[in-house]
Amino acid sequence: MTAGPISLQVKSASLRFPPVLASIGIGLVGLVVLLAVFGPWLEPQSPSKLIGGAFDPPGATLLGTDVLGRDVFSRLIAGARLTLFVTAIATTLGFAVGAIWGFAAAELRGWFDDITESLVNILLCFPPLMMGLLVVSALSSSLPVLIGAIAFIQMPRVVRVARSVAINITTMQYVEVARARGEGLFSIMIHEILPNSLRPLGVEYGLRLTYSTLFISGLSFLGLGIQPPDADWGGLVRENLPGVQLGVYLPALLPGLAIGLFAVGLNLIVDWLGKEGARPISEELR
Amino acid sequence: MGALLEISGLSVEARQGGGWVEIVHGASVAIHPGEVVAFIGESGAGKTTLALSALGFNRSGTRFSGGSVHFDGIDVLALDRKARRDLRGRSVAYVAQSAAAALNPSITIGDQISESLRIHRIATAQGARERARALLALLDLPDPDRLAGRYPQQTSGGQQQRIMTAIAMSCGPKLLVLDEPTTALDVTTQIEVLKAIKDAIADQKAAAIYISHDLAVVAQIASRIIVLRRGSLVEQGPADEIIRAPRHEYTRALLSAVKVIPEIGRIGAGRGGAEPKRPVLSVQNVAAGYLKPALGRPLPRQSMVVQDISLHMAPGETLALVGESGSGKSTLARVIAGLLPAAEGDVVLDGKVLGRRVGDRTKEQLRRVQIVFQSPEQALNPRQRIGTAIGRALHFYFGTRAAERAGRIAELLNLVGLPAAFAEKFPDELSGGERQRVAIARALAAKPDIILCDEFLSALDTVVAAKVLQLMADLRDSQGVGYVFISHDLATVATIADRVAVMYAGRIVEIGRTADIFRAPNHPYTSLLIRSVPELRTDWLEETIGDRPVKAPDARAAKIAPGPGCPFRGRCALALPGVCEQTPPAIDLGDGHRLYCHRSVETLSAPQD
Repeated sequence: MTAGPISLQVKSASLRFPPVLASIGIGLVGLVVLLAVFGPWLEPQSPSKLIGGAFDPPGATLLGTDVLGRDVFSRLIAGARLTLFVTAIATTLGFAVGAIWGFAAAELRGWFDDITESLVNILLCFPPLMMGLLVVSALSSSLPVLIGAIAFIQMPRVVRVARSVAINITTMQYVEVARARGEGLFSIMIHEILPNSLRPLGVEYGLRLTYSTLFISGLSFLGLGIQPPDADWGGLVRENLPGVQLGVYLPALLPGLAIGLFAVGLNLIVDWLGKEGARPISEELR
Repeated sequence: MGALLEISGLSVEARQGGGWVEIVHGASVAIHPGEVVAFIGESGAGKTTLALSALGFNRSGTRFSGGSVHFDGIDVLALDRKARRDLRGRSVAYVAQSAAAALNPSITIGDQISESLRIHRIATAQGARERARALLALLDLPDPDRLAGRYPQQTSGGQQQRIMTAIAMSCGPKLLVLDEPTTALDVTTQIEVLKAIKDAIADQKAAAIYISHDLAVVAQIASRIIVLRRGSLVEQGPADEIIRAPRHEYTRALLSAVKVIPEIGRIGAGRGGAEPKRPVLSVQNVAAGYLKPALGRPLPRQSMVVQDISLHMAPGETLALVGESGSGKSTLARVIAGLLPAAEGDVVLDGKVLGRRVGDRTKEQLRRVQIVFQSPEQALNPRQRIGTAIGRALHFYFGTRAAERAGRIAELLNLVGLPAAFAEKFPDELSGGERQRVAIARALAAKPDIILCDEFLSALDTVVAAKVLQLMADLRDSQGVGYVFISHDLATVATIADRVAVMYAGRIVEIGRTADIFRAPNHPYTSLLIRSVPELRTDWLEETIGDRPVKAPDARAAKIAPGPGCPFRGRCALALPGVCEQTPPAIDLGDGHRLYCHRSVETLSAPQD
């Protein structure tokens, strides 16, 4: 009975352009992505080449030199590439495994779901940073281990979100029909659950990216992440800390600022994605 | 005497796209004190929108764009926020369709009833409590004192609907707006709620607007009927006049869609004979429940939702499973489909015992039994185009390539009366009836022998449901498909089923050809069901309820009768103490007509009133 007017109301939401805040977010994140992708062509110097004295002020080079006399601007760009690379790979990995696991738990229920639930609860008990430190100091600080550790730390939260989103979908009658048809677990996950959970999971993915960025930066800052001579943003802050005592702030401040702005930018986009919604699917998909 | 409510030339607009679209077109309605008027029409006709204007209420996304609403001489639309709030609840009250959603699960029933008395400062706490109790008693609810202290979810659906009415009546409003209050209820419950509401309205001398799409229901309670269609008044007049001599074509269409009981085989059912010798599908001594067994231990019988179910279906036959909610019909369908593994017994397809779970069945076995569900909102994946949804089944069962799929999808859509262009649409662009047609097309894509229809038409309007039912009958004839047709609605079933199985509390109490089911002797529960279907005459309710032998007290308490014995004994007027605790014997009446009762055929044949 109520179907008429209410559905009309929903349809009134038309295509929206990103609002100001989201545009800022897209700008910030877009800039970092461009820097990372086109880095090798943008760097004025090789990031590892010594071009002057320690902490030369800006002038001869755009942003001066760092603790060892390397070009700060070039190292910032190289740092963007490393940070983004680790963040993207680790988050995507953790997310893919977590989502598949969560979907499977929602669809299979029973003992598999029970075990999932307990395991996730246990994993969530460990403070993420402590777990990261543990893994890295036990194994090594190589890139694959770092990526694996971050992915593993992100995963339990993703499992939980994916499961709760999927459970609302697996009770739908169209999923029941697919099940009765004889569709297998992966077919149901891909055709029925995934398309209907894209939006909430997209928001979650954005959040996870932010956490990964902060996490790898934190590890590197503590000296347990990316090892010298390579440096991501967190590492750049760490190696240029001596400059702060000498009154040279820029080399340490800039990578710190980059971390912050990138995280804020991601969050602004996520906020917007979360609020957008509520449009009829037929319009959205066309 | 002047009108209590006078709606004149009222127009309502709804936001659509960037602009506004008129959804009620200059409707004028007058309601006099103490009068019960029915608004009738299909979904989207504007019944609720119009009725809510009496409260000065427009739903979000809509606005009043013309005309006026006067209640008791006051211009309702001109009132400010506070004055409107004073009006609502105190002078005009609204009873929503879904009581389960409208009641607050964390406040006791008594407090919910006295709430508006306190808000409007009409009564003291003590007075409000007494009034609550009086109202519960007025609405024929058992043990008002205890009930007032309980929470809504501890009561049955029929009771919740009456509690909603009690809440609406608490301040003694002059006008009640009842929005489809019995639509979601079983027939046996509907009749009691209807009677209680009718008496309460008369007792309080209130006027009422009764919104419904069911003419037979409306005929029992309303003195005047207003027929609405697409936001306009189509016809209005005294109830018996509208029913006997409708003038407008649309009213006649509504009337013909009303299910009248002995219209057995109206659309080509009732052809079947006795129980089939070579059934395509058999259910043998099946029991199933939702509890998980502890390791190595069998489940206790009491935990079973269905028990001792045996059924046999001939190819192309339509078998109906009828019973009120909670009788285990859907559970049985899920067992047949393999979605819920049976705890005991077998499902047999063409002589071969099927695996208990979907995963234990071959693709070919799965193909032959398809299932369609009740809810049009959930029937289709909202992110798949219609063509994709149907194509998926084609690809899955036959490996049909994309190139050939398009043609086959068009064929299937055509078969269910939809244009081929629908393949490109998304579910949210379709109406409820259209979605259910797509669901049938998707099931037919598998070329099944049997389609399990779980309350398939229950969510549709009578007119739309009648059309889909006709389509299903046509498909049965052209495609040779058989149906297991699950419904709580005996009247719908009568028009299409060859045979009917009546279920109560998880067991079959009677089974036989449709014609035999509608003819005595019957199981007492079957008789109750048959007599509860409203007839299209204004005096039916009084006649029926007056001589009603089978009482439905607190249905929840009486319903579950675990262990051996007749499941219906708690509600049966013919129950024999000390006898009905034994498992009732099967009475074989020939032609596959069997019922399970301790009483003799003679007793059951006598008119049960």
